[in-house]
Amino acid sequence: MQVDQSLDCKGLSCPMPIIKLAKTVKKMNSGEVLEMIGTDPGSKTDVPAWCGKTGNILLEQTEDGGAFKFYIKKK
Amino acid sequence: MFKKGVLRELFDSLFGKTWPMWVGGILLALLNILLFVIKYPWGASGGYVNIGQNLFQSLGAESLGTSTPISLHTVALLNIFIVLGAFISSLFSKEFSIKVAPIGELVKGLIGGALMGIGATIGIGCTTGGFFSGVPALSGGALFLSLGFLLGTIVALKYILWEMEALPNISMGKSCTLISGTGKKTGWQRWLGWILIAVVLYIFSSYTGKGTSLSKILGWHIFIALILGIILQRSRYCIVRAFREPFMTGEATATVAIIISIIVVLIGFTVFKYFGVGNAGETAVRAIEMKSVYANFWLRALIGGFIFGLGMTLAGG
Repeated sequence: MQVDQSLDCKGLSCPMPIIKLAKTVKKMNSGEVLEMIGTDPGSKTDVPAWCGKTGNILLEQTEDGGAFKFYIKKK
Repeated sequence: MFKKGVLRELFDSLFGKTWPMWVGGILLALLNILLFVIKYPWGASGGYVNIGQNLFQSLGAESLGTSTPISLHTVALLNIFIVLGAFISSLFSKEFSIKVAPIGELVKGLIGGALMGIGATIGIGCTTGGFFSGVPALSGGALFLSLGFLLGTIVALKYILWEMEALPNISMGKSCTLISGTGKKTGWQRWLGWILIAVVLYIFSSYTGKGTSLSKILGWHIFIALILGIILQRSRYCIVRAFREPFMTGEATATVAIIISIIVVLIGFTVFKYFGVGNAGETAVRAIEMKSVYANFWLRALIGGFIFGLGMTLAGG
């Protein structure tokens, strides 16, 4: 997968990851892919919900050693 | 034979995945009604005031007057054992981890927490006693407190958005994870969880075994707090989210979950206040307490709620 941009949200707690995600995706071009890394367990449900709400596509979601990774394609 | 497989399956499904927030909301609502039947509806900030008073007293600040010892204060015990219950639940789910946020976020957490403390003391209430219990009890002060929470949340969200543009460095920087929840060596988490359960049950039985009415009430508060903590951890029931979500993502799952639980509590409280349970005399007194105009009505509640709302959104979590 080609990743166009990366966003590090490690150590941040809710609501910061979602606000940062929204702000970063806003500046991206359509079709670009964002890789987001975070440690807030709330993101596990928040990011898919945010994608569903905004129409952006969640390509992949992984969990490893307490860190969550999301790959989001801009609408 | 003892069907170990079934119990194991139940345990894994309870602690394997997150519960929907509305499930947590309804369970918390039922327990809140139970707390009202036993003594008072669920509250939180009063317990922190008590813990703070005891702390000052132990440091020699006698001028604040003598306070109830923590071990005899229902709300202080609720707070302590809810945290312990949530800790046990995170151990059972193997989710327990220690993460350190970037320094800017830590400072914001500290300021937010302090604002919450000031707001709860001015407004006499927080999101638990003032909202989750106060609104279903139809307290006038609680309605103004909730309005304050809403206004505080909106202002704090505006600040966070501004901060991200103007001072992006605050939320960046070094963060680290000290203990990770997932991984290979996590077997100890469940064992520690069981040991702590045994400790809490021992404390519960030592309270209820004393036989006085107060110690029985305190004991059951400890037991209910344990369950409250587990439900809170599993469902990630978060009142702050319910206030924040509509203005942030436009999503409303948390908001709807919280409205459902408020309705359940409203029905339970109303039935209890109308019919009463147990000692009729005492019930009547408590029903009047719940209906009367409280000291925080209306400006104190509004100001306190606003400060608390600012703090809770700033602190996050």
